[in-house]
Amino acid sequence: MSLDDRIRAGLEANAARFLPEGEVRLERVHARLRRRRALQSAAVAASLAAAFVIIMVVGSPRLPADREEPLPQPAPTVPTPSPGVQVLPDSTWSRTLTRADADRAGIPKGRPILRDFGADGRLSLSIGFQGDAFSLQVLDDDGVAEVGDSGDVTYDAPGRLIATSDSTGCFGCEYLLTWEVRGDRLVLGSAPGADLSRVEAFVMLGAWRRSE
Amino acid sequence: VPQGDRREYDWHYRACFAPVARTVFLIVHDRTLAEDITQEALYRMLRHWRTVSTYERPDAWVRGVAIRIAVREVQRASARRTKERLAQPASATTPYDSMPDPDVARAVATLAPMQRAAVVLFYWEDRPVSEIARTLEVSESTVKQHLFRARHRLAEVLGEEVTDDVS
Repeated sequence: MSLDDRIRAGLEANAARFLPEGEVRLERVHARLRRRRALQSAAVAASLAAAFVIIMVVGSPRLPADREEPLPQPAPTVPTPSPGVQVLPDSTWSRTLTRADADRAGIPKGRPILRDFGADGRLSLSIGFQGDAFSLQVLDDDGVAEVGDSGDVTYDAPGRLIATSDSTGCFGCEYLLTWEVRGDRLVLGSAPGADLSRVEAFVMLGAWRRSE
Repeated sequence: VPQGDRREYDWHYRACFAPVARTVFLIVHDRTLAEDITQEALYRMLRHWRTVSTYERPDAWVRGVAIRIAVREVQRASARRTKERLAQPASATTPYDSMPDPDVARAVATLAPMQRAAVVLFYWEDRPVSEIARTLEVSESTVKQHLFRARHRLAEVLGEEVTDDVS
């Protein structure tokens, strides 16, 4: 048997043993999209309600006499900014955590996150927001970034950030976070009902310094 | 999603899941991860269904997305393993032992992530080099280089003789 035939036969045998359970996951895919759409609808409904209130209070804006129709507005993109809801601008933020921080946060020994700490006992993290996507990166000792998590970003009616993970470690997991930009710092907090794990809270919550 | 679209999407989902998951499995060597990655690719297809459904071959789009995620996962896993190896000794058993042909699985696992994907697409899916290049978003000459190096590496690990011509 030639090398090529050997490789073909081996791959075929190994693939034949694997019987994927796709049917179980079909409903999960639909459910995930329904959740995403529901969150987006809630944001749009809040926007419309806020716009209605503004019109009722301020009155209908009058168009200049020499213009028959309003200028076309650009199509909204996700995340949908609404009058009352601010969204994070495209930006990158970083922070460094220490083993002492991990001890204070009560991270149990043996958790994989603890292996990401460098020889100096520090863990450098970076979180970036670009349009409707986020990416959380871990920097190793050589300063090389490895993606720790990534996914989609939306905002709910009160303007809280909803990060939905695309990572294989936790497909579809959602993190509901409060956020505030104070100068060159971004402060992420846990929203009521967010139900973050201890490790997630340790990594995400607190102050981040603007790096871009 | 309108009922008609949903029926059509579900049809594509059912047609794609098993073959794509098997290909991904041969790259990542982990059943759950292979299914997770395939599910993710099919979720992205659902999100972009209005666009993807107009493509001539939505299945090719899903396969491409899944394989590129798989390659990234292998890259991340190998970086993680390097760190873990330094922290603790390797386990005696490997996931390849339970496979029908553990030697080929082990040999493929020694390849760089892009080489793995190229080998699986070429030898298992029987895809031409031009299609592999489109799927991996690299040039055809890069694919040929990956296949050339992978073939030599596989011959070395499997203890086979390597000839210049692919049969």
